[in-house]
Amino acid sequence: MIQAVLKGKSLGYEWKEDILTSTVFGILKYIRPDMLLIPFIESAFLYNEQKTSLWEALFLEGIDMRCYREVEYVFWAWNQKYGEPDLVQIFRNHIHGIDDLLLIIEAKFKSDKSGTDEKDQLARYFEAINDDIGNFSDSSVSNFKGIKGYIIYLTEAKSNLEMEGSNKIIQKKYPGIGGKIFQLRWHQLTETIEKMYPFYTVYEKAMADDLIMYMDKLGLRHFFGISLPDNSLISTLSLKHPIFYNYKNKKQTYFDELEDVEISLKKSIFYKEENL
Amino acid sequence: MSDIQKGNQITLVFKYIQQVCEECKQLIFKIDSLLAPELSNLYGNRITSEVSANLQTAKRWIIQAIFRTYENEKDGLVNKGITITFWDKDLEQPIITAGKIVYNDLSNRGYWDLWNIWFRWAEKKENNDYKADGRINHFESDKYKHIKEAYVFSWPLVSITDENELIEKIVKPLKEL
Repeated sequence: MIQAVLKGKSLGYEWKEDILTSTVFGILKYIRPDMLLIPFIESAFLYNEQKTSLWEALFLEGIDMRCYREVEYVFWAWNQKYGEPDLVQIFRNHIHGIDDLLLIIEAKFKSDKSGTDEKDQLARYFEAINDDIGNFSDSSVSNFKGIKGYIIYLTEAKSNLEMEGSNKIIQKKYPGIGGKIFQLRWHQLTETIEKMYPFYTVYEKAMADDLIMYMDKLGLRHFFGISLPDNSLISTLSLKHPIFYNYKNKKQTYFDELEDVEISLKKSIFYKEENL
Repeated sequence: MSDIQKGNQITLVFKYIQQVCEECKQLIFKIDSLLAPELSNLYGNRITSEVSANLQTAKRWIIQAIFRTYENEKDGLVNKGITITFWDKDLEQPIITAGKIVYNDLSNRGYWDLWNIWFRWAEKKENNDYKADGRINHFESDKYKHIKEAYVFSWPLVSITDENELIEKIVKPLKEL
Protein backbone atom coordinates (compact mmCIF):
# COMPACT_ATOMS: atom_id res chain seq x y z
CA MET A 1 0.00 0.00 0.00
CA ILE A 2 2.81 2.42 0.83
CA GLN A 3 4.18 2.51 -2.70
CA ALA A 4 0.70 3.02 -4.15
CA VAL A 5 0.14 5.96 -1.81
CA LEU A 6 3.51 7.52 -2.55
CA LYS A 7 2.96 7.25 -6.29
CA GLY A 8 -0.62 8.50 -6.20
CA LYS A 9 -2.17 5.14 -7.14
CA SER A 10 -4.23 4.55 -4.04
CA LEU A 11 -7.47 6.05 -5.40
CA GLY A 12 -8.35 7.87 -2.21
CA TYR A 13 -8.11 4.74 -0.05
CA GLU A 14 -5.16 6.32 1.71
CA TRP A 15 -7.63 8.42 3.72
CA LYS A 16 -9.41 5.34 5.13
CA GLU A 17 -8.51 4.64 8.73
CA ASP A 18 -8.54 0.86 8.32
CA ILE A 19 -6.01 1.09 5.51
CA LEU A 20 -3.83 3.40 7.59
CA THR A 21 -4.04 1.12 10.64
CA SER A 22 -3.26 -2.01 8.71
CA THR A 23 -0.41 -0.40 6.77
CA VAL A 24 1.29 1.07 9.83
CA PHE A 25 0.85 -1.83 12.24
CA GLY A 26 1.41 -4.29 9.42
CA ILE A 27 4.95 -2.90 9.17
CA LEU A 28 5.47 -2.50 12.91
CA LYS A 29 5.00 -6.27 13.19
CA TYR A 30 8.27 -6.83 11.34
CA ILE A 31 10.39 -4.39 13.33
CA ARG A 32 11.72 -5.49 16.73
CA PRO A 33 9.02 -4.42 19.22
CA ASP A 34 11.43 -2.61 21.52
CA MET A 35 12.70 -0.62 18.55
CA LEU A 36 9.40 0.93 17.50
CA LEU A 37 6.10 -0.55 18.65
CA ILE A 38 6.82 -0.32 22.37
CA PRO A 39 8.38 3.16 22.49
CA PHE A 40 5.57 4.36 20.24
CA ILE A 41 2.65 3.07 22.30
CA GLU A 42 4.40 3.77 25.60
CA SER A 43 4.41 7.44 24.63
CA ALA A 44 0.59 7.48 24.80
CA PHE A 45 -0.53 9.81 27.56
CA LEU A 46 -3.41 10.88 29.77
CA TYR A 47 -4.87 14.37 29.68
CA ASN A 48 -4.16 14.91 33.37
CA GLU A 49 -1.99 17.58 34.90
CA GLN A 50 1.14 15.43 34.83
CA LYS A 51 0.38 14.15 31.33
CA THR A 52 1.05 10.65 32.66
CA SER A 53 2.45 8.41 29.95
CA LEU A 54 1.42 4.82 29.44
CA TRP A 55 4.99 3.88 30.32
CA GLU A 56 4.61 5.57 33.73
CA ALA A 57 1.20 4.04 34.37
CA LEU A 58 2.46 0.54 33.57
CA PHE A 59 5.64 1.14 35.57
CA LEU A 60 3.52 1.89 38.65
CA GLU A 61 1.91 -1.51 38.18
CA GLY A 62 5.34 -3.11 37.88
CA ILE A 63 5.01 -3.77 34.17
CA ASP A 64 7.75 -3.17 31.63
CA MET A 65 6.58 -4.02 28.12
CA ARG A 66 10.16 -4.62 27.02
CA CYS A 67 10.28 -7.71 29.21
CA TYR A 68 7.69 -9.56 27.15
CA ARG A 69 9.25 -11.87 24.61
CA GLU A 70 6.31 -12.05 22.19
CA VAL A 71 3.69 -9.70 20.85
CA GLU A 72 0.62 -10.92 19.03
CA TYR A 73 -1.36 -8.61 16.75
CA VAL A 74 -5.08 -9.33 16.40
CA PHE A 75 -6.66 -7.01 13.87
CA TRP A 76 -10.40 -6.35 14.12
CA ALA A 77 -11.26 -8.99 16.71
CA TRP A 78 -15.04 -9.30 16.67
CA ASN A 79 -17.38 -9.25 19.65
CA GLN A 80 -21.03 -9.56 18.72
CA LYS A 81 -22.34 -7.36 21.50
CA TYR A 82 -19.68 -4.65 21.62
CA GLY A 83 -18.18 -4.44 18.13
CA GLU A 84 -14.60 -4.73 16.91
CA PRO A 85 -11.66 -2.69 18.14
CA ASP A 86 -9.13 -2.00 15.38
CA LEU A 87 -6.30 -3.84 17.04
CA VAL A 88 -5.77 -5.98 20.09
CA GLN A 89 -2.17 -6.50 21.13
CA ILE A 90 -1.24 -9.31 23.44
CA PHE A 91 2.15 -9.23 25.11
CA ARG A 92 3.22 -12.70 26.29
CA ASN A 93 5.99 -14.66 27.89
CA HIS A 94 7.38 -12.11 30.37
CA ILE A 95 10.97 -12.79 31.38
CA HIS A 96 10.08 -12.54 35.09
CA GLY A 97 6.85 -14.48 34.74
CA ILE A 98 4.51 -11.50 35.09
CA ASP A 99 1.04 -12.02 33.61
CA ASP A 100 0.40 -11.42 29.94
CA LEU A 101 -0.82 -7.96 28.97
CA LEU A 102 -3.63 -7.08 26.59
CA LEU A 103 -3.96 -3.61 25.03
CA ILE A 104 -6.69 -2.31 22.79
CA ILE A 105 -5.84 0.20 20.09
CA GLU A 106 -8.64 2.16 18.47
CA ALA A 107 -7.39 4.22 15.54
CA LYS A 108 -9.05 7.20 13.87
CA PHE A 109 -8.31 9.20 10.76
CA LYS A 110 -10.76 11.71 9.30
CA SER A 111 -13.55 10.56 11.59
CA ASP A 112 -14.53 11.01 15.22
CA LYS A 113 -15.28 8.45 17.87
CA SER A 114 -18.36 6.48 17.05
CA GLY A 115 -21.34 6.65 19.42
CA THR A 116 -22.02 8.63 22.54
CA ASP A 117 -23.42 7.83 26.00
CA GLU A 118 -24.52 4.18 26.10
CA LYS A 119 -23.08 3.58 22.64
CA ASP A 120 -19.75 5.26 23.33
CA GLN A 121 -17.22 3.27 21.34
CA LEU A 122 -14.33 3.36 23.79
CA ALA A 123 -16.54 2.62 26.79
CA ARG A 124 -18.04 -0.33 24.90
CA TYR A 125 -14.59 -1.78 24.22
CA PHE A 126 -13.67 -1.35 27.88
CA GLU A 127 -16.80 -3.24 28.83
CA ALA A 128 -16.19 -5.90 26.19
CA ILE A 129 -12.70 -6.65 27.41
CA ASN A 130 -13.65 -6.64 31.10
CA ASP A 131 -17.09 -8.31 31.08
CA ASP A 132 -17.41 -10.21 27.85
CA ILE A 133 -13.92 -11.19 26.72
CA GLY A 134 -14.98 -14.80 26.20
CA ASN A 135 -17.26 -13.75 23.37
CA PHE A 136 -14.56 -12.43 21.07
CA SER A 137 -14.39 -14.43 17.87
CA ASP A 138 -10.63 -14.77 17.99
CA SER A 139 -9.45 -17.37 20.46
CA SER A 140 -6.28 -15.43 21.34
CA VAL A 141 -8.53 -12.76 22.79
CA SER A 142 -11.39 -14.87 24.12
CA ASN A 143 -9.02 -17.18 26.03
CA PHE A 144 -6.88 -14.35 27.36
CA LYS A 145 -6.02 -14.43 31.05
CA GLY A 146 -3.90 -11.58 32.33
CA ILE A 147 -3.66 -7.82 32.73
CA LYS A 148 -6.19 -5.94 30.63
CA GLY A 149 -8.27 -2.79 30.48
CA TYR A 150 -5.88 -0.30 28.89
CA ILE A 151 -7.15 1.37 25.75
CA ILE A 152 -5.07 3.49 23.40
CA TYR A 153 -6.97 6.01 21.35
CA LEU A 154 -4.83 6.77 18.31
CA THR A 155 -5.88 9.90 16.44
CA GLU A 156 -4.67 12.69 14.21
CA ALA A 157 -5.72 15.63 16.42
CA LYS A 158 -6.14 16.13 20.16
CA SER A 159 -9.08 14.09 21.42
CA ASN A 160 -9.32 15.13 25.04
CA LEU A 161 -13.04 15.90 24.89
CA GLU A 162 -13.93 12.59 23.29
CA MET A 163 -11.80 10.74 25.83
CA GLU A 164 -13.27 12.67 28.73
CA GLY A 165 -16.76 11.58 27.66
CA SER A 166 -15.70 7.94 27.50
CA ASN A 167 -13.91 8.08 30.85
CA LYS A 168 -17.01 9.50 32.55
CA ILE A 169 -19.11 6.60 31.27
CA ILE A 170 -16.50 4.07 32.37
CA GLN A 171 -16.21 5.62 35.83
CA LYS A 172 -19.98 5.60 36.23
CA LYS A 173 -20.14 1.88 35.47
CA TYR A 174 -16.91 0.91 37.17
CA PRO A 175 -16.46 3.23 40.16
CA GLY A 176 -12.87 3.57 41.27
CA ILE A 177 -11.42 2.86 37.86
CA GLY A 178 -9.82 5.85 36.22
CA GLY A 179 -7.25 6.75 33.64
CA LYS A 180 -7.43 3.72 31.42
CA ILE A 181 -7.82 5.48 28.08
CA PHE A 182 -4.58 6.93 26.75
CA GLN A 183 -4.15 9.35 23.90
CA LEU A 184 -1.69 8.54 21.17
CA ARG A 185 -1.32 10.72 18.08
CA TRP A 186 -0.16 9.53 14.69
CA HIS A 187 2.61 12.08 14.50
CA GLN A 188 4.24 10.45 17.54
CA LEU A 189 5.15 7.55 15.27
CA THR A 190 7.59 9.55 13.15
CA GLU A 191 8.98 11.21 16.25
CA THR A 192 9.65 7.76 17.72
CA ILE A 193 11.26 6.55 14.50
CA GLU A 194 13.54 9.59 14.43
CA LYS A 195 14.63 8.88 18.01
CA MET A 196 15.23 5.18 17.48
CA TYR A 197 16.65 5.34 13.95
CA PRO A 198 20.36 5.03 14.90
CA PHE A 199 19.65 1.66 16.52
CA TYR A 200 17.95 0.05 13.52
CA THR A 201 19.33 -2.73 11.38
CA VAL A 202 19.61 -2.14 7.65
CA TYR A 203 16.25 -3.84 7.06
CA GLU A 204 14.56 -1.90 9.82
CA LYS A 205 15.94 1.32 8.39
CA ALA A 206 14.42 0.47 5.01
CA MET A 207 11.03 -0.13 6.64
CA ALA A 208 11.32 2.97 8.81
CA ASP A 209 12.21 5.09 5.76
CA ASP A 210 9.09 3.88 3.98
CA LEU A 211 6.96 4.55 7.04
CA ILE A 212 8.26 8.09 7.37
CA MET A 213 7.56 8.86 3.71
CA TYR A 214 4.10 7.35 4.08
CA MET A 215 3.25 9.34 7.21
CA ASP A 216 4.65 12.44 5.57
CA LYS A 217 2.47 11.95 2.50
CA LEU A 218 -0.62 11.60 4.68
CA GLY A 219 0.21 14.79 6.55
CA LEU A 220 0.68 12.81 9.76
CA ARG A 221 3.91 14.45 10.83
CA HIS A 222 3.96 17.31 13.24
CA PHE A 223 4.29 20.69 11.55
CA PHE A 224 6.30 23.26 13.48
CA GLY A 225 6.27 26.06 10.93
CA ILE A 226 9.03 27.07 8.57
CA SER A 227 12.49 27.24 10.14
CA LEU A 228 13.98 30.66 10.40
CA PRO A 229 17.64 31.10 9.57
CA ASP A 230 19.81 30.31 12.56
CA ASN A 231 22.11 32.91 14.05
CA SER A 232 25.13 32.12 11.91
CA LEU A 233 23.05 32.41 8.77
CA ILE A 234 21.40 35.61 9.93
CA SER A 235 24.78 37.17 10.59
CA THR A 236 25.92 36.10 7.15
CA LEU A 237 22.89 37.57 5.50
CA SER A 238 23.05 40.79 7.43
CA LEU A 239 26.63 41.55 6.52
CA LYS A 240 27.24 44.88 4.89
CA HIS A 241 28.17 42.91 1.83
CA PRO A 242 25.91 39.85 1.80
CA ILE A 243 26.57 36.87 -0.38
CA PHE A 244 23.39 37.43 -2.32
CA TYR A 245 22.01 40.76 -3.25
CA ASN A 246 19.04 42.22 -4.96
CA TYR A 247 19.56 45.92 -4.63
CA LYS A 248 18.63 47.13 -8.05
CA ASN A 249 21.84 45.96 -9.66
CA LYS A 250 24.11 47.68 -7.17
CA LYS A 251 27.10 45.46 -6.74
CA GLN A 252 27.27 44.93 -3.02
CA THR A 253 28.01 41.30 -2.52
CA TYR A 254 30.50 39.41 -0.52
CA PHE A 255 32.29 38.60 -3.73
CA ASP A 256 32.51 42.26 -4.68
CA GLU A 257 34.30 42.84 -1.44
CA LEU A 258 37.06 40.45 -2.37
CA GLU A 259 40.20 41.99 -3.72
CA ASP A 260 40.27 42.20 -7.48
CA VAL A 261 42.24 39.51 -9.10
CA GLU A 262 44.55 41.11 -11.54
CA ILE A 263 45.17 39.13 -14.65
CA SER A 264 47.73 40.51 -16.93
CA LEU A 265 46.41 40.79 -20.45
CA LYS A 266 49.62 41.69 -22.07
CA LYS A 267 49.26 38.58 -24.12
CA SER A 268 45.97 37.44 -25.57
CA ILE A 269 44.40 34.46 -23.92
CA PHE A 270 43.17 33.10 -27.23
CA TYR A 271 45.20 33.41 -30.33
CA LYS A 272 45.41 32.06 -33.78
CA GLU A 273 48.67 30.46 -34.53
CA GLU A 274 50.04 32.18 -37.54
CA ASN A 275 51.58 29.14 -39.12
CA LEU A 276 48.33 27.19 -39.19
CA MET B 1 37.61 34.81 8.48
CA SER B 2 39.25 31.91 6.67
CA ASP B 3 38.40 30.90 3.13
CA ILE B 4 36.73 27.76 4.45
CA GLN B 5 34.52 29.83 6.76
CA LYS B 6 33.60 32.13 3.90
CA GLY B 7 32.76 29.21 1.64
CA ASN B 8 30.86 27.53 4.44
CA GLN B 9 28.45 30.47 4.48
CA ILE B 10 27.46 29.68 0.93
CA THR B 11 26.86 26.03 1.76
CA LEU B 12 24.84 27.14 4.77
CA VAL B 13 22.57 29.29 2.63
CA PHE B 14 21.89 26.45 0.19
CA LYS B 15 21.26 24.01 3.03
CA TYR B 16 18.84 26.46 4.54
CA ILE B 17 16.98 26.72 1.24
CA GLN B 18 16.77 22.93 1.13
CA GLN B 19 15.39 22.91 4.66
CA VAL B 20 12.71 25.46 3.75
CA CYS B 21 11.74 23.35 0.72
CA GLU B 22 11.53 20.23 2.90
CA GLU B 23 9.26 22.03 5.37
CA CYS B 24 7.07 23.35 2.58
CA LYS B 25 6.64 19.77 1.38
CA GLN B 26 5.45 18.84 4.85
CA LEU B 27 3.15 21.85 4.91
CA ILE B 28 1.57 20.87 1.60
CA PHE B 29 1.07 17.25 2.65
CA LYS B 30 -0.59 18.57 5.78
CA ILE B 31 -2.94 20.74 3.71
CA ASP B 32 -3.68 17.77 1.41
CA SER B 33 -4.63 15.75 4.45
CA LEU B 34 -6.76 18.49 6.01
CA LEU B 35 -8.69 19.00 2.77
CA ALA B 36 -9.13 15.30 2.04
CA PRO B 37 -11.20 13.43 1.10
CA GLU B 38 -13.54 16.17 -0.21
CA LEU B 39 -10.78 17.75 -2.29
CA SER B 40 -8.05 15.87 -4.11
CA ASN B 41 -5.01 17.30 -5.79
CA LEU B 42 -5.03 17.85 -9.49
CA TYR B 43 -1.44 17.62 -10.66
CA GLY B 44 -0.05 14.75 -8.58
CA ASN B 45 3.47 15.33 -7.34
CA ARG B 46 4.18 18.27 -9.67
CA ILE B 47 4.48 21.42 -7.62
CA THR B 48 6.41 23.81 -9.81
CA SER B 49 7.54 24.55 -13.35
CA GLU B 50 9.89 26.94 -15.02
CA VAL B 51 12.87 26.23 -12.84
CA SER B 52 15.64 26.71 -15.35
CA ALA B 53 18.38 24.32 -16.37
CA ASN B 54 19.70 26.90 -18.79
CA LEU B 55 23.09 28.49 -18.22
CA GLN B 56 21.90 31.85 -19.42
CA THR B 57 18.93 32.15 -17.06
CA ALA B 58 20.82 31.61 -13.84
CA LYS B 59 18.41 33.54 -11.62
CA ARG B 60 15.76 30.97 -12.38
CA TRP B 61 17.90 28.06 -11.20
CA ILE B 62 16.39 28.77 -7.81
CA ILE B 63 12.74 27.94 -7.27
CA GLN B 64 10.48 30.98 -7.23
CA ALA B 65 7.15 29.49 -6.22
CA ILE B 66 5.22 26.25 -5.82
CA PHE B 67 1.58 25.43 -6.43
CA ARG B 68 -0.99 22.85 -5.34
CA THR B 69 -4.38 22.71 -7.00
CA TYR B 70 -7.37 20.77 -5.70
CA GLU B 71 -10.53 19.65 -7.42
CA ASN B 72 -13.85 18.46 -6.19
CA GLU B 73 -15.51 15.68 -8.18
CA LYS B 74 -18.92 17.31 -7.77
CA ASP B 75 -18.01 20.51 -9.56
CA GLY B 76 -15.29 20.28 -12.17
CA LEU B 77 -15.30 23.99 -12.95
CA VAL B 78 -14.31 24.95 -9.42
CA ASN B 79 -10.74 24.51 -8.23
CA LYS B 80 -9.17 25.48 -4.96
CA GLY B 81 -5.48 25.90 -4.52
CA ILE B 82 -2.50 27.25 -2.72
CA THR B 83 0.78 28.70 -3.85
CA ILE B 84 3.87 29.51 -1.85
CA THR B 85 6.01 32.25 -3.34
CA PHE B 86 9.57 32.65 -2.17
CA TRP B 87 10.62 35.63 -4.21
CA ASP B 88 9.27 38.03 -6.79
CA LYS B 89 9.82 41.65 -7.67
CA ASP B 90 8.76 43.83 -4.73
CA LEU B 91 7.95 40.82 -2.56
CA GLU B 92 9.42 41.45 0.86
CA GLN B 93 8.97 37.98 2.30
CA PRO B 94 7.62 34.57 1.25
CA ILE B 95 3.85 34.36 1.24
CA ILE B 96 1.32 31.59 1.10
CA THR B 97 -1.68 32.32 -1.10
CA ALA B 98 -4.90 30.36 -1.13
CA GLY B 99 -8.04 30.70 -3.14
CA LYS B 100 -10.93 29.42 -5.17
CA ILE B 101 -11.17 29.78 -8.92
CA VAL B 102 -14.38 29.32 -10.84
CA TYR B 103 -13.61 28.59 -14.48
CA ASN B 104 -15.56 29.30 -17.61
CA ASP B 105 -13.28 27.19 -19.71
CA LEU B 106 -10.99 24.47 -18.43
CA SER B 107 -9.03 24.14 -21.63
CA ASN B 108 -7.01 27.22 -20.78
CA ARG B 109 -6.51 26.33 -17.13
CA GLY B 110 -2.87 26.62 -16.09
CA TYR B 111 -0.66 25.63 -13.19
CA TRP B 112 -0.09 29.24 -12.23
CA ASP B 113 -3.61 30.71 -12.48
CA LEU B 114 -3.91 31.35 -8.75
CA TRP B 115 -0.39 32.77 -8.61
CA ASN B 116 -1.02 34.99 -11.63
CA ILE B 117 -4.25 36.29 -10.16
CA TRP B 118 -2.42 37.40 -7.03
CA PHE B 119 0.79 38.67 -8.58
CA ARG B 120 0.02 39.71 -12.14
CA TRP B 121 -3.58 39.78 -13.27
CA ALA B 122 -5.49 41.46 -10.50
CA GLU B 123 -6.26 45.09 -10.67
CA LYS B 124 -5.43 46.46 -7.22
CA LYS B 125 -8.05 48.79 -5.80
CA GLU B 126 -9.06 50.08 -2.43
CA ASN B 127 -10.65 47.22 -0.44
CA ASN B 128 -9.22 44.83 -2.98
CA ASP B 129 -5.58 45.59 -2.50
CA TYR B 130 -4.06 42.12 -2.33
CA LYS B 131 -2.13 42.48 0.89
CA ALA B 132 -0.90 39.41 2.72
CA ASP B 133 -3.14 39.97 5.71
CA GLY B 134 -5.73 37.24 5.25
CA ARG B 135 -8.32 39.52 3.68
CA ILE B 136 -10.23 37.80 0.88
CA ASN B 137 -10.00 39.59 -2.45
CA HIS B 138 -12.40 39.12 -5.32
CA PHE B 139 -11.10 38.72 -8.86
CA GLU B 140 -12.95 39.09 -12.12
CA SER B 141 -11.49 40.20 -15.42
CA ASP B 142 -12.53 40.65 -19.04
CA LYS B 143 -9.00 39.96 -20.10
CA TYR B 144 -8.71 36.46 -18.65
CA LYS B 145 -11.94 35.01 -19.91
CA HIS B 146 -11.26 31.39 -18.99
CA ILE B 147 -11.78 32.44 -15.37
CA LYS B 148 -15.28 33.44 -14.36
CA GLU B 149 -14.23 34.68 -10.93
CA ALA B 150 -11.89 33.94 -8.08
CA TYR B 151 -11.44 34.61 -4.39
CA VAL B 152 -7.90 34.79 -3.07
CA PHE B 153 -6.08 35.61 0.14
CA SER B 154 -2.53 35.44 1.45
CA TRP B 155 -0.52 35.31 4.64
CA PRO B 156 3.19 35.64 5.29
CA LEU B 157 4.59 32.13 5.22
CA VAL B 158 6.34 32.55 8.56
CA SER B 159 3.03 33.37 10.23
CA ILE B 160 1.99 29.74 9.78
CA THR B 161 3.83 28.63 12.87
CA ASP B 162 2.02 25.37 13.60
CA GLU B 163 -0.90 23.19 12.66
CA ASN B 164 -3.47 25.33 14.48
CA GLU B 165 -2.37 28.46 12.63
CA LEU B 166 -2.51 26.50 9.39
CA ILE B 167 -6.08 25.44 10.09
CA GLU B 168 -7.25 28.87 11.21
CA LYS B 169 -5.48 30.96 8.59
CA ILE B 170 -5.56 28.75 5.53
CA VAL B 171 -7.63 25.58 5.73
CA LYS B 172 -10.83 26.88 7.33
CA PRO B 173 -11.17 29.99 5.12
CA LEU B 174 -10.27 27.94 2.04
CA LYS B 175 -12.94 25.36 2.85
CA GLU B 176 -15.47 28.13 3.40
CA LEU B 177 -14.86 29.78 0.02
